[in-house]
Amino acid sequence: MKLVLSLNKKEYLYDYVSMGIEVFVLGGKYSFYSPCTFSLDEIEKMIQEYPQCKFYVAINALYDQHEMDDLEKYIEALSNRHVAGIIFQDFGVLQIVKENHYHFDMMYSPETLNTNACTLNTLKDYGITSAFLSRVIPLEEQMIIQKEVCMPLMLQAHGIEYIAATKRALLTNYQEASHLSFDIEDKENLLIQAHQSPYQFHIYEDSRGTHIFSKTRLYTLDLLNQIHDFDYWYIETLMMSDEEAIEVASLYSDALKSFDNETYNKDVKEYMNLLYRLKTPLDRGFLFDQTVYKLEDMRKIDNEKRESNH
Amino acid sequence: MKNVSQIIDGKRKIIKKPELLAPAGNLEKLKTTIMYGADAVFVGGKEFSLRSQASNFTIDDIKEAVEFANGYGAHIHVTCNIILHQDNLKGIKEYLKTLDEIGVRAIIVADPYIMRIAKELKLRLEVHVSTQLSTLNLKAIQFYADMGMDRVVLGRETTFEDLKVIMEKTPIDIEYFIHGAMCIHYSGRCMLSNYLSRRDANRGGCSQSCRWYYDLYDQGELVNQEKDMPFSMSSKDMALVDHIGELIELGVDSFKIEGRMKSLHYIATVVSTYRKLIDAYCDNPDEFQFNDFYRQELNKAANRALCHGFFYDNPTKDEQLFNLRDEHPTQEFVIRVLDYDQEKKLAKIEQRNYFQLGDKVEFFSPHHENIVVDIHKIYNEDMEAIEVANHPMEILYIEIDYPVQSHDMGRKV
Repeated sequence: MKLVLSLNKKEYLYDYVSMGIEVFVLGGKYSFYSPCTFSLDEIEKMIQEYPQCKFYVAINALYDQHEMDDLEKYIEALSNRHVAGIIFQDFGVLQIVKENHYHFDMMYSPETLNTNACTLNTLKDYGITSAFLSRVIPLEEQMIIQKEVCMPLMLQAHGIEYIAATKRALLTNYQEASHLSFDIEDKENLLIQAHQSPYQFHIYEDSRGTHIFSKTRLYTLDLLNQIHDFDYWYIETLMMSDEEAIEVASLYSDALKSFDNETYNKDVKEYMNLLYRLKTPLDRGFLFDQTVYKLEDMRKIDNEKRESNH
Repeated sequence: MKNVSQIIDGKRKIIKKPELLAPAGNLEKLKTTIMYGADAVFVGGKEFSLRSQASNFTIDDIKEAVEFANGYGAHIHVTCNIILHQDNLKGIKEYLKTLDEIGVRAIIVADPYIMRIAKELKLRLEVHVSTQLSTLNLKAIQFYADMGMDRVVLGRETTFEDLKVIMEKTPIDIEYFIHGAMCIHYSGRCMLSNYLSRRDANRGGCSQSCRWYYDLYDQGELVNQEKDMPFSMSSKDMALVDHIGELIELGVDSFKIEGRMKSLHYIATVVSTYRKLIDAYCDNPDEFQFNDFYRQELNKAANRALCHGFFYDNPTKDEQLFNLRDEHPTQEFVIRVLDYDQEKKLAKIEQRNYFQLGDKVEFFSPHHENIVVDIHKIYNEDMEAIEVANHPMEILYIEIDYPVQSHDMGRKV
């Protein structure tokens, strides 16, 4: 298992590499969301400076027809710069790579759709070479998928979770309609909370539209015994301060080393204490929970809850 | 680019009419939808379909639907558009084989595994790529074409300008939304319902959490107080009624109306309106004048404000609903005609909502222009005169001079 990190600052690359992290996801011109956006020259320089590392570029939006010509040129430029892989969700991106016979690792990451093994094995035959599993399925199901899928899989280790995205400028539209004063540019400090719900979500707007993420950070630092067979363990640094990103990367990196040295079971308590000291909101997402398929299932779950309360 | 028109007897006519594809939540709605002019109807099965709250069809229902549709030269499409989880994999092959055997024309699919097995089974039915996959460009369409897919339902985010380019080069059929509700986020990529209600949006459980009211905080301070306009993520419904001609000229293969959970009256009104509009345009495209009648008709059934969605560009504040009070009442559907006795000038009807003597009721139909009549005589089944019709689904008789027909509908004016 390798730790993967979405790079939040190029100045910290040296520190991350020193921790033993070798795989990075870089934001670029066509990224849907990323903690930082790097130019082609910056990407090229990082690849040259750290030849031992593997760099993926996030081309992970859904693209309109009028963007495709330029996108194709951009992918060609990444190929010329020997980028190792592309994180994508639009099959248009995969089609461009296939038509041009580029040699990227094509990691399929549609946020919500990678939820069973048969579909991923099907897509392998159509050109995907690795996949990022959906976060809305329980750990138990993720582990079954891992056993049945014949390609490297990535699991989110830590960080905020994707909730939804739209091309629409939801905040701008609301501000214009309501005439209320708030800072749309204030990416990290705008939150929404549905009435009657305890959950708060980050919401921000950029040139690609509006993005919604959980406020809480998914954490799996203490689950390595269950998940060590996965190939990639991803840290999402979006919305993290520089310090938090470094601390979290260091903790997960140490945990992985400790697992390899067979001292993890002894050390994990201390790692968790250090994680709690960061005082960031933590969550298990859907790892130990499930969504319902049919309304009857919902009623069944409600009844079970009601009975267990009596 | 497809050749859509031809000169016939000195006049240009549209020879490639788009399919008018409409939804149905049950058999009654399906039959009405076809009678009111749909070329094809999409329905959900009991398994593998989104909209789990719609009263989905059993295999026997689908069989009946196919037989009914065949009688009108129409087709049935079945949605198999859930995103499969590990525990949903069983039974899909048998299900697809059964749909094929009973004559379903197409399945609408979002999961590539279902796409593949549908092709491997060498079924006669077509496989259409669901809008849940938010396909917006030709390269992605080519990807699905290479998988053997027959049609792509484009994402609702596709603008007219992008559609023009797509239609010039697409290797397979294109289906485009022309009317109905819109997801505010990218379809298939929204987990609000999962997080807020534990109901899986990609397996038919969407709780439409986007339309709830939200508090907005900036640096920990509440921005929208109780007196302010609530923050909500809700779109006005889409209606491209005034752009149908342009879409026909592009050669779009299928025009899709959304709304499997909508009422009988809504479906009949919307389908009938677009049917009349498409036929009128195709008959004489060069002299066709858009008439506001079509928009007015749609407004009679639309309970949400209408907009053009992404047709021109990104929707602005004017295309969003921030307050549910923006929704407006529709004309009330009160009568469904069962039969008409020409001699006695008496219509046998089914009561659908309260009406009484003196009310004005507008009858509409796939067969005649709208007519407005005063209700001056109502009889119960024993032919006793009554003043009010207040029992849902009661069989009644009304006197009416105009020869209405079976399946005509009446709405209060």
